[in-house]
Amino acid sequence: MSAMNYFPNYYSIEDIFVTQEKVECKVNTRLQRMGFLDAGAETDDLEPGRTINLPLWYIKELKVNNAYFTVAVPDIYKNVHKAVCEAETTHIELGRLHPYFYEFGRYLTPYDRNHVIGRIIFETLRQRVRHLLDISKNDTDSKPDHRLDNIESKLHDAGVRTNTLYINWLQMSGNHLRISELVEEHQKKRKRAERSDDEGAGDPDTPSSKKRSTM
Amino acid sequence: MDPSIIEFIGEKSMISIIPNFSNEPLHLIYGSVGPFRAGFPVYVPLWLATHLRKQQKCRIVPPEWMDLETLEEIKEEEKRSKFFTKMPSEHYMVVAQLVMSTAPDDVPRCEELRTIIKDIFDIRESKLRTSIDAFIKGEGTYAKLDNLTLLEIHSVRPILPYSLDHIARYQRIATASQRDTSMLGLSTTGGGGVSGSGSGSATVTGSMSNSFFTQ
Amino acid sequence: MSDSENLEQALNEHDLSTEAALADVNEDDDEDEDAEPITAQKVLDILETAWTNEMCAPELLQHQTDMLELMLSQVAHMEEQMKDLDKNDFRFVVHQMELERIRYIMASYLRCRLQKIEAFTQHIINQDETRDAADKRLSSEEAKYAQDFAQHVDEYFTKVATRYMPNQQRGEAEQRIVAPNLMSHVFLKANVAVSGVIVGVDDEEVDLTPGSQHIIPYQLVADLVQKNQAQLI
Repeated sequence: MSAMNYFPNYYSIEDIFVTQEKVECKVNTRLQRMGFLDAGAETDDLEPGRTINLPLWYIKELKVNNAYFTVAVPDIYKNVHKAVCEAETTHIELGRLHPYFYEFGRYLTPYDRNHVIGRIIFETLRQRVRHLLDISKNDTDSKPDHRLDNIESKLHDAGVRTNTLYINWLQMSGNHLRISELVEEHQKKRKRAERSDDEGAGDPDTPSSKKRSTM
Repeated sequence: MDPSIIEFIGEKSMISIIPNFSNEPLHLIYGSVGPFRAGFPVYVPLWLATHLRKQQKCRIVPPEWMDLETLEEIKEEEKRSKFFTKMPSEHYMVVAQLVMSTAPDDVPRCEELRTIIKDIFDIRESKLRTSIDAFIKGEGTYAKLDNLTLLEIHSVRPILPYSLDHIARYQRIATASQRDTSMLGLSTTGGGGVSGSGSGSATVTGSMSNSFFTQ
Repeated sequence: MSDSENLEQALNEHDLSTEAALADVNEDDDEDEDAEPITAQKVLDILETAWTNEMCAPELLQHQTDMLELMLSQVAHMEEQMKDLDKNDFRFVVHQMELERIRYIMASYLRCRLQKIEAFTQHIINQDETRDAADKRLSSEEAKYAQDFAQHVDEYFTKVATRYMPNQQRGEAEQRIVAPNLMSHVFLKANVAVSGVIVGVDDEEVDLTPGSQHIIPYQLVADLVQKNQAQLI
């Protein structure tokens, strides 16, 4: 209960960040004196057919089939479609595509007439979870930021934390125990060997060598 | 539930000690223990056993399963079986860790036992990861996890349930968007998303019950 | 010598006194169980389960004021019996250790509830308003705490922000309610055989065997947890 899973609510800062994101929209009808929304506009009015960027927090309050704007599905979702179909999503650098790939997609899902975004975010996460589980168990501190979106990054943090807690638990209890002579001798030998071998070969104090001796 | 809490819960396990003192029974709230007679084995909770051992007031009698041959069999069985086998103690890791770290001298062939218990844990953990992968690919919302111990569950908590929460959230969005777009445009306010935590009217999940964990 | 004998006797007696105290409460509460006095050990069991359930459940569960009060009086009683004992006495140390463990469980349990109350304050208050007195999730102390907490947060927001905003924005009270995700996945262990548990939203059913373990969205099994047919692990 100490840290809850991300579940967007009124106060969640991530949700505010996501809804700050700009969405590309096509103007459907002349909007009087709204030309200021369009940097390239030459008139005071916003003309039909123009493309402008509006923040998600505004868009999401409009009905899907409102008369003023049509939301354009961002290319990032179309671009991963093929990878999703082929179940080859683990290598995608999601964080680079969009820091809020999933949540942004969640908000845009209703505006996608082809119903692909919802499917894509669902399938992408489903395909990548195993990989997330694996990397969060094996990376200790370095985080592959560009590869993970915000949701994944939180999951990754949770996994790393679990692993650290587990290793600490094994070792903390191990502190009370004298290392058996056999193991100690073995460690000394290894250190000596490593030192004479070459310096780059590896740190003799890596957690893995300690882990062995403490279980 | 982090490892220290799991340890705390596991410390309730009963274990045999041979005290070097005599005392009348103690009426603990948890239940009575004793009488203690010097040189005669008596069952006490693990937290008491480790305390007495640190005070050098007893020897710990390792549980029957803390034996190389038995554990070797368990390990082989675990490798053979598709499912999680039933462990001799539902807190086997905690018991082993505490007994071996407080009283390594009371446990014959302590280091070898340590290695094999760690091996069993690792086999089970990797089996868990493989099963999770299959489970997630199978679109399930529910899976059976018989015989998995708390510390093993810890190895995927909270990352697994959190991931499943998000997958389910996006699945609900995807399904809802495919089913009915008109209702979606109206209800995207607030953070909870379309179906949020509601009573489940929009919650449609492909819930094949999953046989990978089932016995 | 005689001192410690007396004490041992006194410590032994606590079982009886607890049973008497517990029997009283039982009569008020559970008519169908009044014949069997509840033991201190049983109370501890109930509290431990409540503790792990509370740690694992996304929502606030029913309060356990009765059990907590029983255990607190048991602990006080025990300490009273122990006060004449030498601090280095074997018995003192062991009883003391056990009491520390029990105190930890109770404190951790209450702390966990406070975290939920602070996270979902208004939601919990609203839900409790619709419940009968016997089904309230908040204890009376927690209810007061929740009310005060909600009021303080509200005052704070008014002072630093909302009073500078147009009226329209002030009316977002409903939107500001934070609720837990009841579809959060939890680990569940069946205590008894339960048949026909719906495990998917399309009404797929399974039978749970005693001791079987599952990972499942909380909402689908919340009633089993409440009825103690299953517990969260």
